[in-house]
Amino acid sequence: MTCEDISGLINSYVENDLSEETALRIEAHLLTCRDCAWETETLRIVHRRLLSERHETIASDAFRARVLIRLRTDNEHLKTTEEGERVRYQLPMPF
Amino acid sequence: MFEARLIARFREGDARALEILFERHVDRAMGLAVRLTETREDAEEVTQEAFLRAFRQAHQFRGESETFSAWLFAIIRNLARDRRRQLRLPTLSLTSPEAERYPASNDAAGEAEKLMARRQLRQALDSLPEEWRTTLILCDIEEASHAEAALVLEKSVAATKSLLYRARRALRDRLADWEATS
Ligand SMILES: [Zn+2]
Repeated sequence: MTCEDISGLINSYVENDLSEETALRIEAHLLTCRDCAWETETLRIVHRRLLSERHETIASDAFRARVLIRLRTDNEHLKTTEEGERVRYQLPMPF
Repeated sequence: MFEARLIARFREGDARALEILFERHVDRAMGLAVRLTETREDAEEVTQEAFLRAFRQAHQFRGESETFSAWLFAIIRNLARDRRRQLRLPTLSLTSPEAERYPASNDAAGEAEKLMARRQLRQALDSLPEEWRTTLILCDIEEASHAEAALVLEKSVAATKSLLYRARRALRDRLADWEATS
C-alpha cells in the first residue's frame, strides 16, 4: 500500500469499518511510515474522545408526559386510544 | 417501511401511532438537543417544539427516503441554531449538567484529568464552524449513520463523509495546538 492508498482508507480504519485483511495491510504500512502512523493515531485519539462523550440521555417522565399532552391537544384530529381501537377493530372495514 | 405506516396511521387519527413514534425517538432527540443547546431547559423546549413541528408537517414525511429520526434531528438542528443566534451565544454544552456530576470515583486526580479533557474537547468543538460541529456530534457522538447525518445536513452521503473527515482533522488540530501551548 502507498501513502495515497492509506489516506483514502484512514477514516474507515479509524472507525473500525474495514475487513481484517485490509486493516492488516494498512498496519503493515503504518509500521514503516511515520507520517501515516501519526495521522492515523491522532485521528484515532480524536475519534475515541468523541466516542467517550456518548452517554445516553434519558428524557424525564415528567417531560414525556408534558409533551405527550401538548401533542394530543395540538393534533385535534386524533381519536382517543379507545375510540381508535373501536374504529380499527370493531367496525367493519369500509373496503 | 414501519415508520411511514405509523405516520399514515397518525394522520388517520390513530393516537397510539403518535405515542409509539414519540417513545421511539424522544431520548435520542433529547440527546442531540442537550448537545446543541445551553441548558437542560433549552434542550427540553427545543425537543418539544421539534416534535410539535414534526407532527404538524407529517404530510411532508417521505417514508422511503428518510427516517423519522433524521427528520426530527434536522428540525432540532434548525431550532437550536436559531436559538443560538437569538442569544448570540457561540456555543454548545457538551457536558450536560448531569454529566458534570458524573460518578465521582476515589481517584480524584484521574477525575480532574478527565474533566479537563472533556472541557478541552468542548472548547475545541465550540471553536469549529456550526456545520462541522454538528457533523461530529451527529456521527461520532450520537452515532447517526452517514446516511442519516446526510439528511440532517442536507448533503449527499459522500459530501457528509468528507465533511466529517475534515471536521475530525480540524478538531485534532485545535486539540493539538492547545496541548502544545499548555
Ligand atoms: Zn505512508
